[in-house]
Amino acid sequence: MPKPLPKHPPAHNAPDEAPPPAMGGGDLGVHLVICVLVASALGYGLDVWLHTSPWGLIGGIALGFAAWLWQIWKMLRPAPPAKP
Amino acid sequence: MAMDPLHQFGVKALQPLMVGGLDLTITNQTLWTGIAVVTIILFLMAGVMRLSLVPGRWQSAVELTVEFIQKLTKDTAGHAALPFVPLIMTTFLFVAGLNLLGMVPGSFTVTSQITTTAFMGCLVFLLVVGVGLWTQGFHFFGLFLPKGTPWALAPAIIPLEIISFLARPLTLAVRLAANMVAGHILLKIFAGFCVMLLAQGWLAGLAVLPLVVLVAITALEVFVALLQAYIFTVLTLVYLNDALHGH
Repeated sequence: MPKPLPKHPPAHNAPDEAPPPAMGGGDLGVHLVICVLVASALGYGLDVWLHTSPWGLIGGIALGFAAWLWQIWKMLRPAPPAKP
Repeated sequence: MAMDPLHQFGVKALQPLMVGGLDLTITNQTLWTGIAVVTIILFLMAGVMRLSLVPGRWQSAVELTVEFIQKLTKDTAGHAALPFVPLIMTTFLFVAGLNLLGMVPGSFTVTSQITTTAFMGCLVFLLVVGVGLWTQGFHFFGLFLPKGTPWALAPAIIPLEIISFLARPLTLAVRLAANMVAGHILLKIFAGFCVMLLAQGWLAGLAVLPLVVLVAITALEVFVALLQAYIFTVLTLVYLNDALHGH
């Protein structure tokens, strides 16, 4: 006799499969512009607040670029091994 | 003006409206957003008006859309995200509706306006932060330090993760608006080629070449309209997954 199907799906909170990567390489340009914009805006804000012009802005641009490279690394790094 | 590919993105006031010192002027952007919302409501109502065991075409379309969103939510963000299906469904239908209505000749592409897309991106961002703090408390900020990061690298990684996190709403907004603007500019340019060649006397026959390309790009743009709605929805779910389950 076949086993009856469970009424509810098994209770677990983890997703059934890993989320898709952030849409491949087509987005890299958008990521670059946005990361640099956000970080340089933060740096400029620090400059205005702490009177450190132009170091906040320069640091922000560098940090934005680094954040973009970090995004690329996260996109390209090998997937972690599946949980047993 | 007819040949200006950017002319189509101009926001025009249709009905000036001031309420308590606030400028709430009805523009073509407002009008087409309203038309999209009404269209989506009519689509959903047409699907559930006469429910039958053997679904008709409208009921099938609505059922397939609901099942698609439910499966997408479960696969991307897990069972814990299922209570958010109505929100995800609304997001998908709203973006898809606005994108597809923009393909109707003479209409206005609302999603080409960064104001609309940025507002939606910010709402998604606030939702993710709210859900993250609600479900994980301050552990939510563990998002800024991915698992397995050596402690020595933490001072370098945390600022990069914070910037990537803050960039999320803008990335969502710019991706959608840029794709819509680029596609519609391309359509307008090729349509302009057709008109210009038709006015060239004996060269008029060549107008068929850009016309063929125009038809192909129109088909591509319909696909892009749905694809961008899908991408916006999937990224919302990916961010929601972070908020519900941590990094």
